[in-house]
Amino acid sequence: MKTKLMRMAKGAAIALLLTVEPYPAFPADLGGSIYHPGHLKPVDSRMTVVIGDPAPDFSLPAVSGRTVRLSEFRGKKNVVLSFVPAAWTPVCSDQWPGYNIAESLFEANDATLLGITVDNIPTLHAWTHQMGTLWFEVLSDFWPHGGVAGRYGVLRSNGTAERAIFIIDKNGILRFAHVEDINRRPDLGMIALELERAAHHPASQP
Amino acid sequence: MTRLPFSGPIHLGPLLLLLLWGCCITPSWGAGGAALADGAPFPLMDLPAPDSAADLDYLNLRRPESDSKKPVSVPNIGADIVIIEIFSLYCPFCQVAAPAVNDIFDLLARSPELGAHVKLIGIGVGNSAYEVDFFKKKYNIQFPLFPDPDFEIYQCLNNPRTPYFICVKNFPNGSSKIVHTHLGGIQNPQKFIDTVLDAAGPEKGDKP
Repeated sequence: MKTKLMRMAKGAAIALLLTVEPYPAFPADLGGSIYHPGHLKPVDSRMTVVIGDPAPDFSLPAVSGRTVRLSEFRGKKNVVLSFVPAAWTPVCSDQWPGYNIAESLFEANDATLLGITVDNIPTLHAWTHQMGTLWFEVLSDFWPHGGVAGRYGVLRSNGTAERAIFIIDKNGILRFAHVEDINRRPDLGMIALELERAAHHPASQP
Repeated sequence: MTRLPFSGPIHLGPLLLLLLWGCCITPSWGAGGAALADGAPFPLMDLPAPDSAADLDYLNLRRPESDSKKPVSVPNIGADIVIIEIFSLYCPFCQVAAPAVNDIFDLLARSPELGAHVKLIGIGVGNSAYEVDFFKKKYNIQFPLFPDPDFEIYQCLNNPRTPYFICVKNFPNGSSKIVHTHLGGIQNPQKFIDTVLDAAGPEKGDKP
């Protein structure tokens, strides 16, 4: 009797397994790992940089293991900085997967992308790992906490960064700055337009 | 065999299988609203007028040529069945699913019987026109995609997760009903089409 019951239980378990939907859907809760902060104050900072001025240089650790300095791209690449508020939150978790399929857009404008949050490296590693292989560097502005975000004027009062886009040309000049409503994603079309302007219409030297 | 405290011997195999199943199941509506029900009327909504003459031609809208700039409604699409993919440029699963969805389009387009009666469209939730167009070009998508930048359509559809497929049957009286929905990617495009056709039932004579 016990053997028969065990066989039935095993069969039921296998039958249940076969009903599993093999394709997850997005946004995936990742076993409850995505934290939903609710609707936030759209902007909670004051920008401190000025378009046309040299962009503040910085040096930050990357998830890849290297240290990335903004000025290393001087004379080589236009740079797009994508600040997002925090790992493991909804809008942030789908913004960079979108940029991940837009590498051609950046290549067409001789640009690279640097993703930045105030999270530490282990957190960023775990979070970006579930996005798949990203083509761009992801930088940690954890310590001094939000130091770079602060210098760009996009550090919120709760210690997270704004959802902000900065475009810096090959001369190191800030060409575009945009702080999006933190609850929304910035339009890729806007980034494409401004990147094309920065890349193909150089500002005059200071 | 393992002996647990206060119980008899117990085989862990089936229990482990059940636990594994529990971990694998992705709650379909974990971050969204309630699923749309089969048999329910398709929600009323307007899709922006397509810019492309090819898209207009494909949709074969049931309205005069002079109205080509007006919004599109699903019941107005010249097909007995409309398969609607709810997607986002920013959704990695939609990115992975794109080739299979293209296969669905190809299978339909190649079928003289189905091509005129079953149409495929996509709605990019939270996506601007640029983003939808980028996705279309990135994955060489041949069917019309509509932007929903402010999530208005998304809210009409109960905020589903993506990719999400809604299969709608259009009736001669201008009404539509949902005959099948599917959350997640498509493993077998032909099987998916067969499922949709079975769910839609006879093409004529079925009551709305």
